[in-house]
Amino acid sequence: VKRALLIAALLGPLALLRGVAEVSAMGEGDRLDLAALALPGAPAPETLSALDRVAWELEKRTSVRAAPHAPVIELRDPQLRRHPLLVLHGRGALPPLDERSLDALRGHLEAGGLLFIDAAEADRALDDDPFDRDVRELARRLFPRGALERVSRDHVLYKTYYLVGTPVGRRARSPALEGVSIDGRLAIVYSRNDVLGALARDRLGAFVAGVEPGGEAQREQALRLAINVVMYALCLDYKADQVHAPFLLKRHRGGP
Amino acid sequence: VNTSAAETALRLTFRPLAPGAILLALVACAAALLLAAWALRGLPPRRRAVLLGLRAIGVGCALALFFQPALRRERRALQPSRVVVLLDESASMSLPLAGSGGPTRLQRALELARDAGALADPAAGRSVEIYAAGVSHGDAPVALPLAALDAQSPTGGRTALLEALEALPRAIDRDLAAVIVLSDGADHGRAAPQPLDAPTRDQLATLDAPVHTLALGEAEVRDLVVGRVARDDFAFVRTPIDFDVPIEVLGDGWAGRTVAVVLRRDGVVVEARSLTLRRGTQHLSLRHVPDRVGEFVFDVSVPVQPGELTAANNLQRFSLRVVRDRVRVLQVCGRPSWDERFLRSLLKRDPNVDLISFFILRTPSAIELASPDELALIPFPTDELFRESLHTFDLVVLQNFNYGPYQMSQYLPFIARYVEEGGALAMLGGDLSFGLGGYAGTPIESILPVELEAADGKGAHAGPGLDARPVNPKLTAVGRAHPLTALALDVEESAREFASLPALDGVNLVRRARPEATVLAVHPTLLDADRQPLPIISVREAGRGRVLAVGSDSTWRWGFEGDAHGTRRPYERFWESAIRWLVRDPALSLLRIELDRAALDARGALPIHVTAVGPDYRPIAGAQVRFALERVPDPEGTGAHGVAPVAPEAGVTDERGVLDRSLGALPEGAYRLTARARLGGRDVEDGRVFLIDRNAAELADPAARPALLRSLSDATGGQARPASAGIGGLPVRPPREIRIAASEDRPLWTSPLLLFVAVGAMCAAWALGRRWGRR
Repeated sequence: VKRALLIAALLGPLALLRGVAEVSAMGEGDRLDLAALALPGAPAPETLSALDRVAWELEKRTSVRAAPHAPVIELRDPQLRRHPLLVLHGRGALPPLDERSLDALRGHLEAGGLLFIDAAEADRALDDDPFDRDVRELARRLFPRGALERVSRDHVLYKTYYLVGTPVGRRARSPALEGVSIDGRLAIVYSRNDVLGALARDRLGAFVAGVEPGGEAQREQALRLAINVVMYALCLDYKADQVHAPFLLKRHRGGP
Repeated sequence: VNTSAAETALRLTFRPLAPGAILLALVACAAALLLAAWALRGLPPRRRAVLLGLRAIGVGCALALFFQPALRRERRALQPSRVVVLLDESASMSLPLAGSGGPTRLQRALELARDAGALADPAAGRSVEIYAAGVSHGDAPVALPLAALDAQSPTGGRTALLEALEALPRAIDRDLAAVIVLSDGADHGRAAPQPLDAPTRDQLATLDAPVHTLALGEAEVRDLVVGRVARDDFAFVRTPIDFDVPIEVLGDGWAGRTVAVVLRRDGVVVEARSLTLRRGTQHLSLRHVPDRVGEFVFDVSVPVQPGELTAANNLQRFSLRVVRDRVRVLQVCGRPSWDERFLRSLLKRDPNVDLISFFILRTPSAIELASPDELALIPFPTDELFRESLHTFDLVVLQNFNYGPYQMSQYLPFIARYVEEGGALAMLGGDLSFGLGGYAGTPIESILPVELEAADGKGAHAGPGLDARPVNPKLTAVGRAHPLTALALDVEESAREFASLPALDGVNLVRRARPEATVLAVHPTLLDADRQPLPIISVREAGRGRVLAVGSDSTWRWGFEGDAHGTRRPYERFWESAIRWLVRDPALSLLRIELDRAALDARGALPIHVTAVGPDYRPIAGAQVRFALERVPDPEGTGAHGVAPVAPEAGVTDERGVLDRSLGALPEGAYRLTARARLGGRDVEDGRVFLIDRNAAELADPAARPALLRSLSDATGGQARPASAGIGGLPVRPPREIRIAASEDRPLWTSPLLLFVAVGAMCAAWALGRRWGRR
């Protein structure tokens, strides 16, 4: 992994140059953006830096064209529907949401949007985490007949781009993602392992937080999970199509 | 009535009484006489006899008064009778009488029918009449004048002798002296199951006349027969059809010989299998996978063998409509995007769509540090998709896809040919599409509705090949009513809805719309190289296929953003309509022909129902509809020459957009009927294929069945003969029914003599009784 990171560090600037030379976008709205959700209150700088990092990695590793900087959006913002992928990364209790905001979020998700929720306080015990408690309450209010459920290990989310094993982040306190499904697709994906925390950098480009227990390899796994979430938002169950089955089955068998 | 044979007769009649009353009267009389005899028991026998006789005379007179006898004078006349000759004119009578040549069964039957004239007897009131059976739809026999015999031809599609016999009394309403059936016995009616069941025999007995049968043809024939191919009325495109072909070998002589059984579609061989002949029926399965929708004429044939009874049944033809079960769509995307994601989501939700997606998740230039085993990526199967399986798709969607990095230039001609042969293509915009995708000057450009700017930007729009400013496309006049962009039935409402859609993120710049293109939506301000509004949504017909060009990659906003304003439906409607239009959904056809094939079977004429609608799918009144009718040649070339069939007369649709016509009775064969009209400024047409094959069932069963004919004769007391025995000597039932022509009744009980006898006898009995000591 260290060797891989070294190669990435060497090739990254070259790739950046290549990207600049590419044809310009049809419009900024055409680019994928990972919109940070404000409920209200501005997202932490670490959140935005992590989302920018994910966008950068998407551009370099995949064919996705991502906006370099994550916009911040409020639920009552009329521009909410211009951002199908929303990210809520936070800690502590969530601010109370009024019905109008809830309706806007519910409509967004029912129309095809995806909300990725990432718990930043991955160091706390699960039974003493106000963020976790409020996220569950939010899911209940949004979809009274649905609930956050464990995303099974054979879900397409774990193979939309990378073959992801354990969905880890800065920490690995929870062995699985959770989610709420609407019409057979995940409308909410919830990680309690602080995926974005593993990717956040400071102004000098250094990672903000250490990653435990897997170290730098786990950080790469967190990035892969983030890319898979984006790919799921864009491709849904594409990798569950029958045409992919023999290839993926072979790799699973040949894998560790 | 034969008055010359009339005669007069007398008959005694009585007052009609109930059986109980008659019995009561007789019992009372008998009791009275017994009592009288008992009362006279003391007298000497002679005196006793005299008195008893006198009282008997009195009782007899009382009985006469009670029963009121009369003398009836009657004039009787003989009912004329007829010998009916029932002539089988079904198609099987066209077969040779014996062997593989010589006179036909019908020719011999006509000779026998003429001979039957000898059975007429004018003196006895008996005539001979000829009726034809199996000449048309329906089983009732048709009277044939003797003079018309020479003009008879065996064209009937069904032999139903029992049904014809049952219909005889109703058709003739005369006394039957006998029925003579001239047939090969190859029956397809109720008499076919042998032996005849009891109800059938009872039914025959009601004829009350002998049915003589003369068998024409041989029970043992040598023939190779392709039987009726079991099939449904329609099949699904790209789904294998297994035709079960029964091949019957009649007679000996060909066992062990191998022949080729060939399946053709519209005259082109699509499957062939060899078959080793053996006596009896063999079933051969012929598989065909229809690669496109439409109506086709199929035929299965085996080569004619030497010495065959007939070659007419070595070929079996049928028409088959091939439809879609689901629209098979190939979606190829240059990169994951929201446009791709929402279109995929919509297509996956549609149960009528079978979607195969391929997304380029990683470009060749992307950096990847993970090993292939850690990635969920698969190779892009270009050869399989664009060479081997392209024809299996109804629609190919190239969504912001550039072919260059994937060495696909060799496949572009295949895609163009696929469209020209009836496929459909949708090119959706983006920075990897149209000119930016490198399609300028390629075979793909030649089928697009728009001419492209080269990727180098040396066109009318010097620059990057796209305009990134948000834009609300504007519907053209055609676009307001076109099914693809008509978001509402009302044209104005449709335009308003379209104008209210969320803005697109930008548009691809193209040089101009092609002359043959239909531009549906344009840029409100940008112009093309001809200073015309820049086309954004345009369509065209390329060869037999259709192409859609959408110069943007953000129609998804019409759904996701529009949903916030309650207008998500237009996005779905636009794409659903686009797919239906691209794949030529029959429901979107402006001109439609419907044939009433059931009516064809019943009357021999074929009713045609044509409906015409405009681009807004409202009925068009006054549309001029022209017809063309052509015969589809069979493998032997029958129908390719000769007199062309007469097409229905052109006409004008009524206020419902309907035109009804009818085709007269047509000879056997396959036909293609085409209707053409100019609707909404465009020439449109619709076609149907149909088959006239009335004789197929008859010729599939060529052997004569004398046993069946014998069973008819046995059930009625008639004679069963081979045709060679001729008509002579056939028994005819003599006239048997007598009718009352006139009558006159003369009452006997009203005679005064009866009263005198009664009173005299009673008085004498009383007087003698007193004299002989009786009181």
